[in-house]
Formats: sequence, C-alpha cells, structure tokens
Amino acid sequence: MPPSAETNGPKGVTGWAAEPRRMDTLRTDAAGGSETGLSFHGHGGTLFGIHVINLLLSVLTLGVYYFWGKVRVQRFLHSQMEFDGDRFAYHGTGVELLIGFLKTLGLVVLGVIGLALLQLSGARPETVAAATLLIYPVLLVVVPVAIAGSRRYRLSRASWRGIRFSFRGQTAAFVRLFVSGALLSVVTFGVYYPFFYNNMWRFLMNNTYYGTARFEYDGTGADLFGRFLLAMVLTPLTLGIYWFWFAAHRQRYMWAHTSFAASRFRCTVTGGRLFRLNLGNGLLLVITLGLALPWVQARNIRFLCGTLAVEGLPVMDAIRQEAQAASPTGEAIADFLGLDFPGLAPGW
Amino acid sequence: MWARRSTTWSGSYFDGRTANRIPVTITVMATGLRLATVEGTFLWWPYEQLHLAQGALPGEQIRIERGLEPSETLVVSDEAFLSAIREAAPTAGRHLIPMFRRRHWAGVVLLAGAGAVIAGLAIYLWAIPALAEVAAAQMPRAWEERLGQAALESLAPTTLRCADPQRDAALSEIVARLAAAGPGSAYTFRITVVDHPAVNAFAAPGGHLVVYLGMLRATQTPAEMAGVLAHEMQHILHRHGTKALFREVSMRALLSLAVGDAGGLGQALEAAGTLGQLRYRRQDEEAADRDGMSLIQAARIDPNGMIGFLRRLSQEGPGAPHGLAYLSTHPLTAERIRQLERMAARASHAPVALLPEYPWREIGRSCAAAP
Repeated sequence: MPPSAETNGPKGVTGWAAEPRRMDTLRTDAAGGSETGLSFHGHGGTLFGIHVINLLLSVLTLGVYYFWGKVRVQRFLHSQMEFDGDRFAYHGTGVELLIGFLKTLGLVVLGVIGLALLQLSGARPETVAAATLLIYPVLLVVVPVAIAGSRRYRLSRASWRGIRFSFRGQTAAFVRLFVSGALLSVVTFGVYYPFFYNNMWRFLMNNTYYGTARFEYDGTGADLFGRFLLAMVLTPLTLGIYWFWFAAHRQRYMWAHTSFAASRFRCTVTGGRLFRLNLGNGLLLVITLGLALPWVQARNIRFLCGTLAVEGLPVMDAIRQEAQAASPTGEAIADFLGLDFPGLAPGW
Repeated sequence: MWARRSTTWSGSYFDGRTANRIPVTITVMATGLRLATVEGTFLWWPYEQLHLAQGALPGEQIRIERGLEPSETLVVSDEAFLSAIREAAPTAGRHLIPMFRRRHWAGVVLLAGAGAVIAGLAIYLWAIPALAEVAAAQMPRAWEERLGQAALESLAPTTLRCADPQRDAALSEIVARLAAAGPGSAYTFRITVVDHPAVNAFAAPGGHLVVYLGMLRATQTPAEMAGVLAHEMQHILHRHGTKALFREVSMRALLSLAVGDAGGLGQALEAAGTLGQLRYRRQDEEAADRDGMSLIQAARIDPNGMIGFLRRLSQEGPGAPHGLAYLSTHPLTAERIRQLERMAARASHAPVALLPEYPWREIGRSCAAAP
C-alpha cells in the first residue's frame, strides 16, 4: 500500500483526489448551490506539547492536574475547529471535572463498600455472587447515563460565535431506548442493530441545540437494514475490513438525514479513506509505541472535519443564546468507563 | 485621551446573545480596549473586566471575554495583539498576558518533558518507597493476614496443595525452631507445599510460606531447607510483600492518572490481587539474606547449609531445569554468597543438628506417595 493520503502532513487532506476541495475555502460557490465546510487547523506537534506539560503538572500534583489538563486539550481542539470563518470554543473548567470525578468515585466506593459489608455480614456465597453479578445490569444502565451525561456536559461547554450548544434529551428516556435496543439487538443476534443505532442517533440529534435552533434527523433504520445485512455477511469474510465500508455508508446516510437551521449536512467519507486512516493510525501507533497518539488524534479530527460540510449556509439570524446548565458527573462516569464521545455529533 | 503607543487591530466581536459576527477595529489603550464597528459605534472594554480565555498556544486565536456567562467575546487572529497590550498596559493589562511567549513554546515543552522525567524518577525511587514503608507499618496485622490469605489462594490453589503429615511435621519443626530463635513476633508461620517441579519458594504477607516440591527435592539436608525458609521468613517479618504491594498499587494509580486514564485507577486496585507478580527490591533481598543468616545462627543451625545450597544453585545456574524460577526472583551474585560466608565465619556457637532422625532424601516424595 502506498503512503496513505492522510500522511501528507499538517495540510493533510490535499491528497484526497476523489473530490478536490480546498480545506481553507469555507464556501465553495458552485453552479448548483454552495457548501460550508468544517476545517481543523491544529497540529499534532502542539497537541504533543500540551500532553507533555500536562504530564509534568500531573506528576507534580500527584494526578490532580489531570482534570485541568483535559480542559487544556479540549480547549485547544475546539479552538482549532473552524466553521464559516469562525472557530469553536470550549468553556469547561478543571474544578468542575474534579468535582464530577469525586462524585463518581464516591459512588464506586459506596458500591465496593456495600459488597464488602455483604461479605463480612456472613451472607451466603451465592448471595454475594449474585450481588457481584448485578454489575452487568447496573452497567447496562450506567453506560447510557454516561453517554447522555457526557454529551449534555460537553455540548453545554462548547460554543461557536459566542452561542452555546446544548443537549436537552431526558436521561431516563435515553436509558429506556438504550436498554431495550441493546437487549433486542442481543436477542435478535444483531439483526436489530441498525434500528437501534438509528434510534440512538435520532434521540441524540433531535435533542441537540445550537442556541435556540434544534438539529433534526429524519432517517430510518429500515434504510440501513440491507447494507447492514450485507456487512454481517461480508465483514467476517473480509476479516473485518468490510466494516469500514459499512461504517462510511452509515455516516454518509446519518449526516445526509441530519439538518440544522434549514440546511442539510453532507458527509463525503468513503470506506477506502476510512480504512486508510485507521491503517495509518494503527501503524503510527505501533511504530512509535503509542507516542504518536497526539498526531493520531489530530489526524482523526482533521479527517472528520474534512469530510463534513453543510449544504448552503444555515440561517443564523433568528438564533439566540439559550445556554443550559449541565452537571459534569456524566462526563466523569464516561471517563471512568473509558468511554469517549468526541466532537459535537454522535458517532464521530 | 489616546495612549502614545496605541495601534489598531482588526478582530471579531460576539455579543453573547446572537450568532452574528461583528467586525471591529480595536485600539489598544493604557486602561482598556476601544472597539469600533463599521457603523461607527464604539464599545469601551476596561482591562479589569476582561480575561484571556485562549491564546497562549501556537496556532490559537486570541479570545478575550468580558462579563459573566454568556459573556461577550472578542477574537483577534494576530498574535502580536497581546504584545501590544503588554506594551501599552504593562500593569493594567497584565492578567491578559500568558505566562510565556509563543515563540518559547518548544523550549517550555522540552523543559516540561525533562521535568516530568526527573519528577517521575524522584517519585519512583524515593517518594513511593518511603510512603509504602509508612503505610505498611500502619497496616493492622489482621488485614495483612487476610491479604496473605488471598495471595495464597492464587499462588497455591487448593487443588495443587500437597498434604503429607510426616513431611509437614518436619517442615513445621524447622520453621518453629527458626521462629523461636527470632525476636518474638506477632506472626504465626504456616507452611504450604505445592505440587510443582520448579525449584521455588516464596512468602505471602501475614506468615504464609509456600514451598514447591521441586525446591524440596533440590535441598540435600534440613539445614539447606532452613536457609531457604529463614530467608523467606525475613521477608514476612520485614513486611516486604506488603510494601511491594503498596509500591505497585500507588505506582500504577499514579501512572494511570498521569497518562489520563481514570479507569486505570480501578485496575491499579485490582492489582492488589496479583501479589504473585510483585518483585522485592534488591535491598529487600539483601536484608532477607542478612537477617535470615542471623536467624539461622541464633537457632544454632549449620550456616553452611544455606551457603552450600545457594552456591550449588548458582553453579548449576540457568542450566538447571527448574531452577530458573527461584533464580529469577532471587538473583544470586558472588557478592551475596561472600557476605553470607563472612557472617558464617563470625559464628560463635557450634551448630546443633536439625532433624537428625528424619530421612531427608524422602522429603521430596510426590504427593501421591503420601499415606
């Protein structure tokens, strides 16, 4: 395989010959209408430097600085993302992340103490084992709580042109959707999965706001079903490689059915590009023993921004500020579980 | 009232209520910023109401915010803007100036990297061991025993344990004689034999001694066995295992925090169960040797047993079929053996025979042979 297009260096996307589109040009006025693209200006090297400084301060403060470090990374990533000539901004703080972490830690410790007390109180081993097994149903509920909570927190701390994003979906509703969808997917041996994915995307998108304006999704699981069945057959036959093509198709579909302020999204990701990106990332990480992680992070975000655009220009005149409060606890739980949902969109 | 050094800059103003970008021309003055729109309206931003939200890093735009959330925002792309504030308002605008200039970024990162390595080494070599020392000393003995019990379950699973009343009695007698010679300790020593051909022995916190069948077969006299046991008993008395555990857990917790993996914290605590993979430090091994030899001498056991066994093991070296296990955890150096010889040479009492009646050649008989 020749060096992938994504390894072209900071400018990155110039090598994607299929649809030549300059990253710096935000609006391409063509005969058939215009398109407003996202772009990412950050360099992996700067991100690496941020991580090095975070490491020093984390070591010196015995780990406490970790939360402030996370904020620094997020602030940098947001500040390097641009849409229609203006950058995004991040407003989270280290203190609130620390508080969220302490609350989560408190919950975990309570659980552990509860189990230990049960054990010490002379309960029968079967009772203790049953209580330990409870972790699985608990996780099934905690994961959606973390997804919704993390999204609520992150969007509430993100802004563009001074207007905050927000997520207003009810956590309980998302838990119901997630638990039933996950169980149905298991029971049907995965056949239900496209409907489950579609329902999640709809819930997460339809409850996402920029100021007073809501994002809207009008796709259906049935549209994805055929491709998904094909993927179920071809993915094992191709040793998993076909999944990139399915994932690309899914992303294109999801975004094509997502709109905002009277303009529709357009995603140009292809299976080949997605495959090359991941292959390149994997090689980079292996060769550098993981040191290239900041560059991989930058490559991923640059890739996503480079493949996503809005058709036309959203009508912004009527949009007003409508910031929503959001607790950092959901974010902390997601961090605890090792879940990460970067960016402004689900499935990024 | 124009400041002498004033210059104008172009930027974008956001009012925090609408999504409109308003281009402004900014004049940097001694007490604040003056924002002028195309229509000719003005905004006065006194420095004391402003804070720098972003702009310290290479490639970042300068973002200055004013007021409480949702705040008004001013964005300037030219990084020289901050230098202009520094010159025009060295005191009034000081809080808007980042700690270091962007062109020093690479140097700052390099310094931070070196600092992180030095701080990490200091913590690893000094702070954590000192902390583990204190923590292990504070740990109640009952907790230590429970910890040892858990370690025993994983190191010597019940199915592999080998009960042989005759042999157990002989080994217990050696342990009892060594324990009686010691300074009197709160630990009750228990010995477990594991059905495994490796030449290996170890100690779990709280008084648990584990000996592999291979080790029993490798010893030729009770005095040799006593040497191995005295060494392991000193690990228990010095709480080396508990300290190693504290070191390991705190190191992992710190590492997971440093690399930003909060979930790793849980794994660090889980590591508490994997006591078998813990390593004693070299100074712990030396202490166990030295005090083990003192114990041998106090119990009036022939010190040449311990020395002879170690020497034979080191001569066979890695070539010995099952000796690797013990040698990998107890690296034998010529210096270690010489130190033991020096101690043995100072012995004052004549040794009293250990288990003279016991047919030692049968000590390593297989488990199935137990009556």
